[in-house]
Amino acid sequence: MQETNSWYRRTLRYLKRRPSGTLGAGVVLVFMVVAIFAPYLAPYHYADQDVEAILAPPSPGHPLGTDELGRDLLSRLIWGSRVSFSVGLIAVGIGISVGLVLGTLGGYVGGLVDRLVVALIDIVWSFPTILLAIGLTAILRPGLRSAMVALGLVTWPQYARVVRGQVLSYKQREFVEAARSMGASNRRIILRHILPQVMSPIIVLATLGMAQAILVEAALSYLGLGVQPPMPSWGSMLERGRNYIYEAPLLTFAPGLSITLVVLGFNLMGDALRDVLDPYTSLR
Amino acid sequence: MRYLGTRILSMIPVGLAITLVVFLILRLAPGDPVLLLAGPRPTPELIERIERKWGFDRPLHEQFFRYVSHLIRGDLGYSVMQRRPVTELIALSLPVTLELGLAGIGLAIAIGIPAGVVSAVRSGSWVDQLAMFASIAGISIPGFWLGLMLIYAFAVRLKWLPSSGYGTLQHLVLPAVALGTSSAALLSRVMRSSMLDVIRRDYIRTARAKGLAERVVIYKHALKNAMLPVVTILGLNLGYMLAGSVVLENVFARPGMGRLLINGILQRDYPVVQGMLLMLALSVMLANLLADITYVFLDPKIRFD
Repeated sequence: MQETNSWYRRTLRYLKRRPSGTLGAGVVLVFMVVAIFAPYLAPYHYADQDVEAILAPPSPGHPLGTDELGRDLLSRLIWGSRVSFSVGLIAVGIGISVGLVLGTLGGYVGGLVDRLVVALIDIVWSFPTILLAIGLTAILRPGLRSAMVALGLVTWPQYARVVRGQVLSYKQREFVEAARSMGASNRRIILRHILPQVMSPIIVLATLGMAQAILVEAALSYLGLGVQPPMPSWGSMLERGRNYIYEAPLLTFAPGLSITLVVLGFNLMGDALRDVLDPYTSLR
Repeated sequence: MRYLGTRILSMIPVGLAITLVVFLILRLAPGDPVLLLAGPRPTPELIERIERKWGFDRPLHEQFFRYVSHLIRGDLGYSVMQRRPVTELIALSLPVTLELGLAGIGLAIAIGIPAGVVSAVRSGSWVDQLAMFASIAGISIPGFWLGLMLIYAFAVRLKWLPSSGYGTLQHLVLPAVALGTSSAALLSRVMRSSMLDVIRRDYIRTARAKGLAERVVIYKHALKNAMLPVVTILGLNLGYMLAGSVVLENVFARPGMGRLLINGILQRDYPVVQGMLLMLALSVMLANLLADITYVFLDPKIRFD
């Protein structure tokens, strides 16, 4: 318990010294609060139409104006944050789960199992993320759930690779030998002694993975393969806004800026966390 | 040279694995593949012909070998929607995609490498901080949104460049900038950290101690060695560029492989989807191979392994 506490304090102290990381965390926090409390914060429901105001410019009633169906842009942005965060969290969750299981399996068991895991990593790795995600959503039928699953299934190798490497190196260490000689089971060795060591790089990767997932979901939705109407996603809002770039450029500015800010927040946070948590890849 | 031989041979299983994944994507897609191949108006004769040609009545592994043997003979199927063989569609769209990809990577190299070197040489200065903030911002901006913003600024407002289409150099500028920005950002980060790593080495201290001019030390001794990891990233990045061009081709209405791929998915024109996915994935594989070959020429240590 004490150890967790000091780890937590060290992180906090470090984040204070790295303002960019704190800034990133702040941005992420703001958007997260917006996503959680979207129904209370949004002035309108995302599908509410105001037929009196179609492609209206900003006004007191509609702070950012309305889209081609008279829907309030601000409200749709606020609701859209939910899509981004839920896709990010679930995709990263799936990616980490698969990555942890396969990575641990390969690294700990070794032999043929390990060779299979490595081959699987190599195959998925040889496809660029977005390309495989596009292919998978094609199988799964376009939609929010497909985007989440596809992203998780495409990104697990980055976690598996790191987990496998860490497990391989910790497997040989004295403290694991000691635990084994005291009669600890494999289960106990993995869960209590090895996996806690793996958590630091995973936290870093997960933070950067959120940024990646949100970007790819936006791209998928922009292409019409992600979230389907009327549910607002920043990506699909951009796709529709494009048609009105002359009359209502805000429809294109605002969702893109939201994506950029959230992704920037996660990236800044991930970079700062990497420096403090991950002694292997941080370059000082 | 042995290394290169092994490396090229190792492409064969990877290439087969890629083909298998793409093959399975078509087979797992919803709907009867025969009906999908037959298009909107299937006749019994057409269905029979497709079943015979693609061997859908055979076991899955046999179908896969049949697919590969068709592939080797350059037969990727027929797009009923476009009324053309897929290979013909690839021949038409590949140059469009390659043009954008190469322009993007050229831009990324031209901006990213100098920015990374300057950042490293003046590490900690305001130039470095500015460049590093620009680079993390560049990684965070979605390329397709940047494309839309460029369209707004240079096509809608200033009317300097066309907003979409393909053909002239003017049509290439905006998509290339949109595509190259994130890679430039990534390259500058890798270049910087690699350069910082090299600058601290003993041989750089020796070079300085010999009294060589700082310029010679940086550009002749450090840069050459610092390029190694950058080349690897560049190869990986060429793949991401191709993937990124899938989205950007749709933003800028360029008739490349990415646009065909997305239209194929939306119209459930699976032979096209399969062909485009396969070609794009194989190009990525070749790009990585190319990076490895360059690596060997840059790093004499590998050659004698």
